Amino acid sequence: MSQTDPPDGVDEDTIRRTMRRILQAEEDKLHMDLPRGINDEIEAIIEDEIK
Amino acid sequence: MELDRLELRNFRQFYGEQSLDFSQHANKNVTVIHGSNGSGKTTILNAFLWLFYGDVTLPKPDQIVSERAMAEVGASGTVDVEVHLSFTHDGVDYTASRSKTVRRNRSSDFTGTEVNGDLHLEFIDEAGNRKVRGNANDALRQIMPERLREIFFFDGETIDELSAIGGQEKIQTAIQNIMGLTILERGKRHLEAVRKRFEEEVSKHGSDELSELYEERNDLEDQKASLTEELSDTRDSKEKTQDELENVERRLSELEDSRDLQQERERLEEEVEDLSEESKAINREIADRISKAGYVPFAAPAVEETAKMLREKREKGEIPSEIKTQFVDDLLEMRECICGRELVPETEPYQNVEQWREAAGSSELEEAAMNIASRLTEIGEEEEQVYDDINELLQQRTQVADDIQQKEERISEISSLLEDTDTEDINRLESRRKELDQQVSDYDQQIGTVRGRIEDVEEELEEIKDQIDEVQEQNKKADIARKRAQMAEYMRDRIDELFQKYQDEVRKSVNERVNNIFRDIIAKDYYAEIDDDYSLRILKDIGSEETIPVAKSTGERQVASLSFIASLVSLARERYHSDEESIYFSGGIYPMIMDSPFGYLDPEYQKRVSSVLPEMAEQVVVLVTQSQWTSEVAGEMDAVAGDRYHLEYHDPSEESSVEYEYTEIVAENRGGR
Repeated sequence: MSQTDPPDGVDEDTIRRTMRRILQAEEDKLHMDLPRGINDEIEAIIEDEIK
Repeated sequence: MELDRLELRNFRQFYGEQSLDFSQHANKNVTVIHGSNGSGKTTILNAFLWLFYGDVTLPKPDQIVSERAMAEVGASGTVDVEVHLSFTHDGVDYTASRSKTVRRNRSSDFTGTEVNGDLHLEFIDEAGNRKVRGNANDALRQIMPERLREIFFFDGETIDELSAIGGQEKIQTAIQNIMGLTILERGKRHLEAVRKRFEEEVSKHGSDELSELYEERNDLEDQKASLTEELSDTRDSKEKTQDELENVERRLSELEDSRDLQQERERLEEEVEDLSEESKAINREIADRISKAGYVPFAAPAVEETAKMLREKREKGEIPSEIKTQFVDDLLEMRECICGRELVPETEPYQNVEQWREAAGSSELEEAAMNIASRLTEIGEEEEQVYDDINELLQQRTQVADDIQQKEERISEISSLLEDTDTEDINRLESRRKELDQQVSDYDQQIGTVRGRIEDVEEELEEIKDQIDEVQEQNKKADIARKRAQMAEYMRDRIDELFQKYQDEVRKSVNERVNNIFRDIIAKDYYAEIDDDYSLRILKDIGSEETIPVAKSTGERQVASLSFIASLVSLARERYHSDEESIYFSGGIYPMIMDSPFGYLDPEYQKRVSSVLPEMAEQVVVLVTQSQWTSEVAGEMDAVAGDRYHLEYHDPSEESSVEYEYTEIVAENRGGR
């Protein structure tokens, strides 16, 4: 079990999709030692999923 | 990734064009390259590093170009240097090449200055077409991550560092990288940073202000209710007082001695009321007149000046103009002047007539000027009318005020007369009437004050409601930011769970493999393990299932490190072939390219390592010194080496015909396809 709970009203599909998008963004920048802009990308993904 | 062919052109001591093919044979997957010390084995390893990452770990790292090639071009000549590799990755055929052109500056210069450089990556698409990959640098680093360079392109003489003190971090990083766990580790770290961002947003938008505003609004609403009640009570009191006042007045009308005076007073009061209404109507009319025509007196000076100017122009005959533009145009078109002279374009008469056009007035402009002049006269007349109207209204208002005053004086006089009559009843009634009249007047004033206060409270309430709307909007932003922060935290924890789970799983799996490979090589009752701190340790069995750490020789450390790398490569290969589809923990196919893997090993260990090398990876490239190329090693290698090469080093100190050193790659055995 996670130490935290997901936000109210967020379903498992959204959680899975968000996770996939975040990990994909990480993979796209995996070759970079300092993945520039990755925090902005993750922030945008969460903003997009939680409106 | 499966290596196919490496081509070198003037790269370090590999003069001219040299190449070697890597064995891709399933049962003979080892490619052996052996040569004497200094012949170029480490340079071949560095050719990979230069191609993938743009640097080398050799002495004089700037001197990439062959000395012999530089010498041959003479001063200020240029030499091309290139490393070209063909390989397969994830089922796609690639060719990668890094090249540069170097200019020799003087005869003693063997480093040169780079004139241009290029990194190029091509692949064959599904339709069989050759395509160029954009951003070759990134693409190559995705195929072979730089963080893994020490694992896949390793120097056997320093590989034992992995099992030395301080090697834990390298081992942990290697495990994470090769198994794809770095994605999880980074994701976890970046989500933490993003969570903080959202929390900052919560602090920015969220506040306790809303509850304070609600409280303030409730207070104001209570105030308004209380004032409304007060207003209602005062109105009731006024009504009752008015009723009593009417009764008293009625009584005064009924009594014979006061009837006439009371009736006169009632009539006068009605007239005063009518006059007050009339006065108000006059005030409204004055305001209306000023708002509609009040500008006229202020505009009068400018109007007068403009009118004067237009008048003067008309007097001078400038308005209207004597000649019309249309008239001049007609003459020019007919090519005939009013004097009968022919008007030929570009002749003096033509140009003279043409100039009239400039003097001629536009009919639209003249019409507008005439309209303005006429309107200005109207404005002047209007100014006088405005003054007359307002003066008349003011006079009317003064007259009405005088009438009111006169009638009020008479009303006051009536009251005094009634108070002074000899009839006690009338005196008392009139005194009471005055009291009640004063009370009604006080109530009116009180009602006015309370209404004013109610209006103030209503205004404040409107302001508070606006503020509440604004803060509620801000709070909505805070709520969404809070939800996003919670999502980031939840994602981080989920990823951390996965990371811990897979890291532990991988550590256990690698641990088992390390020990198996290690025990295949080491003859003693030793065990190898990666402990919870990621230290690569060698243990000794002391019976009863107990083990103790043992002091490790360099050779044993080298075997342990080699076992670790081999176990990682085999686990990555296993994960790659598994059916599970995942962005992380995906594994991969990697070759092992080893420089001097037998560095510190005694002949027995050399033989044993040789026997397990083919199983370490799908493809193994071994660069070995002549001294390590013993009969034991050669014996084991012959069975598994698909391709074997010898590095033929030409040393100027030993060959008189050779001026500059160079190495040739000589194929000894080709059976790797």
